[in-house]
Amino acid sequence: MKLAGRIGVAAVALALVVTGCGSDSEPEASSTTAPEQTTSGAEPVTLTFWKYQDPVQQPVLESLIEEYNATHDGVTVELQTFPFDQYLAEKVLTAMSAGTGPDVFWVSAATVLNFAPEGLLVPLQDVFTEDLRADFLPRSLDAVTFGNDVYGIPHEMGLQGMLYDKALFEAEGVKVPETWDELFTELGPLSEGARSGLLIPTNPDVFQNFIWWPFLWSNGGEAVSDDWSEATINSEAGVEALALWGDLMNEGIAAPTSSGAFGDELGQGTVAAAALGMWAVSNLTENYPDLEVGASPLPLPPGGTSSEAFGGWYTAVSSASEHQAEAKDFAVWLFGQNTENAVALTRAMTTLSPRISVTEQLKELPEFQAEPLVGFLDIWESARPEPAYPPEINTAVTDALQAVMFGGVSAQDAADAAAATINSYLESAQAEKIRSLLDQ
Amino acid sequence: MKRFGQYRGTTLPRRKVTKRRSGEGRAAAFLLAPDVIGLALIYVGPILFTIYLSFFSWNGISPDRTFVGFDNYQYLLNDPSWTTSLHVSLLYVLMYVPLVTGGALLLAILVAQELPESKLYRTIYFLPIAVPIVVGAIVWQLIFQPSYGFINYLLQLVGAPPQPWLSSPTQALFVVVLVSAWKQVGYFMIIFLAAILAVPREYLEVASIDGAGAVRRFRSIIWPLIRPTTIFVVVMTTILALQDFDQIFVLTRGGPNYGTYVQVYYIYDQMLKFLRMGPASAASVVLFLIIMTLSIAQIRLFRGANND
Amino acid sequence: MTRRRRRLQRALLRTMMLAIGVVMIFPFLWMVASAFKSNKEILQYPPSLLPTEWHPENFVNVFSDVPFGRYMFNSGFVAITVTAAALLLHTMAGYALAVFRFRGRNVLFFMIIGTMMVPFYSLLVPLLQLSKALGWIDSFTGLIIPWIPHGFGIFLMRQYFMDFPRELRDAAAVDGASHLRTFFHIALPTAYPVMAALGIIYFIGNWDRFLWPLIIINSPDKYTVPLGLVQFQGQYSTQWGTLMAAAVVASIPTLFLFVALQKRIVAGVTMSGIKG
Repeated sequence: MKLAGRIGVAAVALALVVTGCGSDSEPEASSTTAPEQTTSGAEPVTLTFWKYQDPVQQPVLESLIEEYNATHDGVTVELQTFPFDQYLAEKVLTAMSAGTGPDVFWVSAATVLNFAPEGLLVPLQDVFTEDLRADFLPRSLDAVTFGNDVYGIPHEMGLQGMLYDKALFEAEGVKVPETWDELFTELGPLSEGARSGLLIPTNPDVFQNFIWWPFLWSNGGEAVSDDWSEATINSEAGVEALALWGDLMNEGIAAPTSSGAFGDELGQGTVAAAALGMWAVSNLTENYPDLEVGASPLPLPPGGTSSEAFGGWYTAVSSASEHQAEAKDFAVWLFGQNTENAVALTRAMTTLSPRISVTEQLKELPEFQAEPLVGFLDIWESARPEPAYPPEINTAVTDALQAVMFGGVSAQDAADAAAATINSYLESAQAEKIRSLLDQ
Repeated sequence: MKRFGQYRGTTLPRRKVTKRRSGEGRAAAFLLAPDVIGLALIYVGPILFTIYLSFFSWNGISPDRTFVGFDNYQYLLNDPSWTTSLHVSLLYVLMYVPLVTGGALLLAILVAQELPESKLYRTIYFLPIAVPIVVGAIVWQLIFQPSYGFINYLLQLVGAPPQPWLSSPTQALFVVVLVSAWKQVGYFMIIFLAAILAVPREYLEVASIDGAGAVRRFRSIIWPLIRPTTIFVVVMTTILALQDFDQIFVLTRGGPNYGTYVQVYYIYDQMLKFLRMGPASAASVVLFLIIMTLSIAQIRLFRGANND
Repeated sequence: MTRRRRRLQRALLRTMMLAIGVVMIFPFLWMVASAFKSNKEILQYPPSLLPTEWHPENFVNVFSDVPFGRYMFNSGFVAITVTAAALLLHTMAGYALAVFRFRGRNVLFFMIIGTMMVPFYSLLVPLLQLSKALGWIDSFTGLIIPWIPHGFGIFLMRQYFMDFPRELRDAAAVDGASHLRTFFHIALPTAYPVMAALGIIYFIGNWDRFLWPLIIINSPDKYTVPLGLVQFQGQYSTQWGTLMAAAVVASIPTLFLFVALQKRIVAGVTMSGIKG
């Protein structure tokens, strides 16, 4: 009896048709040609605003959105949050793929190149005007600026630094390392038993890259040349920076595993110092009240100059949004205009702000006048933003770090392998696209 | 409620005529339609679409898709991280399948004994299934922590050197397999338990009277009789092992240094990190074929041995 | 077999069971103990076993910080609906595959088994687009339907019905029952124990589902329990006490079902015929 077979075939055909059709629904074409919709005032507009889940930020954002909804007739913003680990990948990307993405969302430096060159973000500079931008440290907009187009608005500056257990260092009479050599000489004696000397990220992800950048930069190295024409990670400076992390791990100074960006190990006493940043301070003060947290700039190589990185997310508008005008207004209102919003958020997160006026206000707050946060104010102006690299470059760097730290590979070999991968990427059409964007 | 088991072994008059009754096809179609349509929609359609995508270059979002023929498959062959993922997946299976099959069998034997606490242990051995993986991962990470974890503490007690565990590419795979096995063995224990309990008591009693010890009884009576179950468990655990992802993501993110980078992780990266739907789809097709081939091979192998 | 030897064997057996039991139960106990601790105490090193100060308010926070009760309801609703529908459909399909003969039967069965061999990430993008086309985004329908058809259940029910005696069917035919009637009134009722076993497995599987709900649901009021759990984790900090308490709450239905239906599960699997 073929009926069963026929049903099966029909079902498969149906599935193919539906799936195939679904994928042809496209997001709106490149932002410059998408029509701008003006609010007629008649129909209420609902904007979806996506970000990752964070219990610290949630109350702040909820109250901000409540305020916005109350003061902006005809526009309702809906906040929807998703687990941090899956936020950009499983959620945002797949939603955009299916055309069910958000109007406004947070994007990170590590992923902005997945979106901007593809025309998935709307340039904001007509609402995010030059006046408003003047309040921002110029470098803080680097990662989201291509030519004249600005695609995101940063709200936080998580500055890097070395956090350490003050009481422990005093008790052991150990000097806080200021040079790469001192990382070994000073932290060596502290690495015994259950305790390791220094916490550096061990998981293969962009966070590991992020914490490593200052070590590369302070040594004078770069991952790629300024014009993105060739990889420079295997310069002597790059090799040395890789070797540093390899040695730290292989000589037992660095903790063999790390839990992430929280810095819990410092609080638990299983590391003496941690290459982290100011964002960890809130977690440490809250959960480890007995810990006296010290902060100091990251150790430098001989002749090196301080070059901490700062991380943070950006508010961006999706070009698939059907209410781009309203979305842009909200995105800029959120952290690009008044200062109260940004102060509220960065204060909760114990980070500084890329905005001059906001940082002025933060400086007045008691927690920023005390150790350990006060130290970060010194490096605020000179810090470099986390670079926006495509995943190919980021992964090449992560691979090199993993290879020297866990694969028994020499720093030179690892660096050369990374350079080869990066160079091969730089020859691709995708890289050409980004290069032309950067050249604008 | 009828239990037709009572009919087994009896001989009711057999109908000589074995031709199909009319209407079987229609009834079959009616009964099968919802599930088959559902499967076609949810699985077959997407699988075929994935095969289709494997011949294209696409970033998953924009409407442009370019036909590239077999380039994606060539890409896989040239990509060292893909070949690594094959090795890692293979190792994973080689560790996971015996561990879970053997472990589940052992547990089932243990709880099949008629001790008063057996029922309690059944629940205890099933517990890991109820623990969210996030929590399980945290605890096991603590236990295997190289500097201060319990395992290394035990090793030191007996004079053995502490091991790097999750910070070593090879040992990390073992730990991940262990955690995965810990979490999932309960299901298979139940399956083996049912099989063992179904062995007719008389056989075991007779053997016992004849002087056979527990081990002998197991080898000669239980083991052969549960063979079909064993095949089933081996095949199911293989299929599961090749698709495991969550534990790896939570514990090691595929590292250190690609030590736990299984094929599904490769697919995940290609699709959601690099936005390369082409290679991701090609890798999916290859993985699917590998799972299918292994399953068929295992069934054939064991069936063949069974026929002795 | 001397008495002494048997006692020794028994003691050995008991020790082994206990040792393994400790390994299996330890993470669960740690989870429950942590649910009563403060953040600080959970994180401290060396870790403590039992809480020094008890913080039962963690459990209150679970339900007050986020609408966890709502999440439990959502997960329960989805899991029960999927399970009920799946049980019905798989029993039907399994019976048809086991009992009727028609062309393409084996090929169909083979294809059904094949659907179990695809990792979920591979299905993700097409499934999502399908969902969008059918209007399933951010809906319970989208949460439920994709998980109803499933090869494992069909396989299990087919196994079971393969032992269904032809004689019974023929007797029913002689009595004038149609094929479908035979199925619904005679065959199906005998399968309840197997369905119970399968039902537990499906319930647990759907209660625990994380990735698909994450992808298809946007509104917080439709979150399932795994999505709710992860809300206590942030980028730079985690509310450990509340997270552990939530994890305990999340594990209760699974545990309860298993404990309550343990006998049925084993009996069901026994009947299913997998074992033989």
